[in-house]
Amino acid sequence: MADRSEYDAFVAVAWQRLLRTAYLLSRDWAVAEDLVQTALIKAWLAWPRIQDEPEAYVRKIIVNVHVSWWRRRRRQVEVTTGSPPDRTGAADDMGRADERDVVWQALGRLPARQRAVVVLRFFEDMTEAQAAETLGCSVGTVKSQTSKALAKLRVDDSFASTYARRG
Amino acid sequence: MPIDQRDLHDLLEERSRPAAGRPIPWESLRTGITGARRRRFTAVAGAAAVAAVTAVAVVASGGVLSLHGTDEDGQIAASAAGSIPAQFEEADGTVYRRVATATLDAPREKSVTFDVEVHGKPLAVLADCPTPSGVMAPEVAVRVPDVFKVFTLSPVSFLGAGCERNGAVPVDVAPLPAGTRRATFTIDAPTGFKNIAPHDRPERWRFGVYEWTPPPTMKAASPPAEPPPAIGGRPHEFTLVAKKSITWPAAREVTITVPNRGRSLAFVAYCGGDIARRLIQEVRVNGRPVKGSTTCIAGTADRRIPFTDLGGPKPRSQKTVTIQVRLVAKIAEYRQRPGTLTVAVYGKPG
Repeated sequence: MADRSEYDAFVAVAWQRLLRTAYLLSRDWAVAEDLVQTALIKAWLAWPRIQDEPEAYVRKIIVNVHVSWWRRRRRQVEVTTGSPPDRTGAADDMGRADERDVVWQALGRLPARQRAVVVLRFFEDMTEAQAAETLGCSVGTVKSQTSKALAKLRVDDSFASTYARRG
Repeated sequence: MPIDQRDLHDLLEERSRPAAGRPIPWESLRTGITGARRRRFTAVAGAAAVAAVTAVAVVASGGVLSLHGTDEDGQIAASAAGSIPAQFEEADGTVYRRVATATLDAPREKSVTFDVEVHGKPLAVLADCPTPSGVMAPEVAVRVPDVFKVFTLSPVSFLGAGCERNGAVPVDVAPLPAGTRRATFTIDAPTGFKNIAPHDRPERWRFGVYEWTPPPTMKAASPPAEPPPAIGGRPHEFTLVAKKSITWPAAREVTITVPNRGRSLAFVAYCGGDIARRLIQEVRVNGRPVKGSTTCIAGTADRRIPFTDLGGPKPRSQKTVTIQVRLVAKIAEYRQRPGTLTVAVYGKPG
């Protein structure tokens, strides 16, 4: 029988981390909470088998449920160009802030899978192999999705190329 | 000028930081896993049609209190258990008439789509689930011709509550636009969970779509269940300080003000009648909204009730603490269905 106290303790500890990931995926706090709850409920059922790495299991569900929901509801999403406009000008603080805002908006326009790759690689700091395992796809797919996403976000891939660990 | 990957990391870090201020919605989490608890309980007891109830702490602020609940028997109120009847009546006299049925034979079928004629009455979905699990529950989307928006179940968007009770409780569909004559229902099987235990994997579900009509004359609401004299683990941490009940729909809000004596406070809020689990409750403490509970849970005398911990003692400068709970009905016909709302405030003895 699953240990409820361990499960509760896990939820109490992991909730905020999971919610952050879910929010970055969904960009809506209510949807993010739904995502995390859905994943935690499923985790309870599998609890005896996942106690070694429950957070990875829950994160995997969050990512995949998000992709599934996004596919189902994408008809509602406004059609956009998917990329921020080219920008010029000095890199002063104000310009930097503007640039970050533009990147944030562009992140919201990425397809769910590309957004998931960005969140896993550059927020969760996962290797390509870990991201592939979480998304249930190949390392090659993670590489190509990362490249496409960064191009759309106008994130310079040559900067800090070792910042995100390579798988 | 492009940003670099460290900037991207910092941006993601910054934008997700408000998560720290959002409490864990223990109540709805508990509601979702109740089905799993019940399945174990049923296997041991060999009994059918038991409703397991959990003790829950919803933490508005401060630490997590005792969360270890015990399963207790409860009676399922609806008269439709275990089947998709052509028509049935709930305890308040509301009649549910079936307008469509569908079968989803998972995992062979991923989804089922069907059209429903709509006659201006509220719609609800009743599920005959293969297991009494609220977890591996299908999702329902409703589309109306020429309307961009996709409608879901309400107030919770998935069918978990319906499956938890093995189809005994119809779950409402969010109100469709006025004048809707036809709606297309799509019910999707849950997918992508290869690691789930075999007995929790998607199987064959049956569904009924119902339109419901409250009785022409509203019945009187049954008296509300009394709140427990103490709550919060064993031994109980909080004792009853004040309580108040109102009768829906004549009144829609309970306000309780208690003096601030420098002790920790908690409260419970629950509904009686067939409005329970179907109306939204909005909670404010000293005028500030409290997250953590979206539906008014069912409360009965033999149940342990979820409670909201208001955190540690309030500053002495605050002379009183006021708790307001307001019921909201997205579906207008609920104004013709009776029920009660009870709020009870508890204090931790100094």
